[in-house]
Amino acid sequence: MNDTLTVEQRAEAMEAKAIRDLDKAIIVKSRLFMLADADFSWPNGATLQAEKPGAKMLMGDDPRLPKMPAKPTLIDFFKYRFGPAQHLLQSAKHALKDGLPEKMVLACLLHDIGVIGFIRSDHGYWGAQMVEPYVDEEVTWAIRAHQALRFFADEAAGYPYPDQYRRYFGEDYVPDDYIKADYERARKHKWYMSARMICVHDIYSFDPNVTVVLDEFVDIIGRNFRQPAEGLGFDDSPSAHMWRTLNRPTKYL
Amino acid sequence: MNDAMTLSQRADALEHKMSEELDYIVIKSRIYSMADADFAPPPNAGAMMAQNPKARVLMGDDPRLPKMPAKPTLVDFFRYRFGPAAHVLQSARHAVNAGLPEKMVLACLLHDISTMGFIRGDHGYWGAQLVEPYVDEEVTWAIRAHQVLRFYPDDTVGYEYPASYVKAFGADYQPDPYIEADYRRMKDHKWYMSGRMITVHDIYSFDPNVEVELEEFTDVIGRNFRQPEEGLGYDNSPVAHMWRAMIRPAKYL
Repeated sequence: MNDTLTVEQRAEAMEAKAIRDLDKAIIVKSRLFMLADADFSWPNGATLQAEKPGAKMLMGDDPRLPKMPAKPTLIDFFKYRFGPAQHLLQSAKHALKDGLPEKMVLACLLHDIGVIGFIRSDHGYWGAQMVEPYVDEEVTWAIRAHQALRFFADEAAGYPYPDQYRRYFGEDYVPDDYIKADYERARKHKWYMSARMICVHDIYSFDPNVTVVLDEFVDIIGRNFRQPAEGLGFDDSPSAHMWRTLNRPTKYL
Repeated sequence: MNDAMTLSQRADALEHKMSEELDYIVIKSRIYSMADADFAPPPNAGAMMAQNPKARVLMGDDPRLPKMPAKPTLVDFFRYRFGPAAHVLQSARHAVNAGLPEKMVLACLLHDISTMGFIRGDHGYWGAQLVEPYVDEEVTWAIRAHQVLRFYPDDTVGYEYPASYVKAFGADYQPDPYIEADYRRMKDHKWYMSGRMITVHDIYSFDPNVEVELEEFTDVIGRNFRQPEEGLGYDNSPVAHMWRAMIRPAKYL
């Protein structure tokens, strides 16, 4: 890029390029995303191309989204793809102050990445599946299990049933059978208390005056998250395609 | 409905019924919003509930979607969640006519289920992950591999680079480096030809006069897809939550 351009001129040039790229691209949403809108229509690539001559089905970066580095790290996903992370940062800080081991601080930091970056429903299972190749087995297990344990109080461990759940789901809400079954299994597991600790530090009453920044956890991530050298999504791991979907949610095929 | 009701009373009743049915709040998942290039933080469910105190976030079945049976089978997903299946049905019949073994017919039948029901980008990797606990290892491998092999011709079996790809992606389209790396791994694999056979039968020029019904493959599915007794999504398999996401794509947590 020409050094004589001002920051503002550069931003304008980039925006203009994104608009040109969008003119050449056809974006088709995935079935799951459309189902979430109760949209049962079925897009036809050939018809869409006929309507937009010269345009191609999107197979590369989505020009509407922030550009990701070629070898993205976990922190890049926090920066460029995830939604607000304040809840996770506060949870992790809470765990740190309480003297939890580093890997459990990481578990608290990552427990809701299914919600802030991917699919809300069953987010504990999704989050665990995404991080499994990169973290200690206990961290994966705890992230997965927190989903079920959230719905069951453990007063001895300092975890009551959340008031927020009563308001959000109703007084009469009963967890699904698969959640109950997973709770029964998790209750007897040797790592039960690790998952329970995620719930204990899964704090909902945020102090609006406290801002926690991700930089506080850079070393903990570095020591406990095996960042692949090729970048998340490009390391041929069993969950690589999941990270690639976060990177390019609208890739055609 | 009472016949003595006036038209206006009926309209009122209908409206009342609809407002009751709409006493739920749908918060879209991050990945769905990103596909719309919507980077806004998710709407605050608490604030929405303050406006409509009867409303709850959606934790059960989505009233806008067709009801799924309590123990859904693969066929139920074809019926109630997947988009049009003519392409995979024609592929599977093509494979039957060519005398392929049953498990490869199943592979052809399932190779695009991620496109039809889940996520388009990297659909071969997603589809393989979805079926892995339920099919022969070779079927999983082949579904994963077809994603990659589609982009590379193999003259020994008469597979040419698809003309439809030239049209859809442009004559200058180059597969991503991770696809190329997977191709190099896959072409020397003992199951290479199984992945390749999916591409050979992945036919795009359909005869619009030929209708293939899923019923033709009921027995092939029965003998080659280990349908879990508890229903897909409820068998505590490593991918159960993925099927549940299709059942309830807008579940809140």
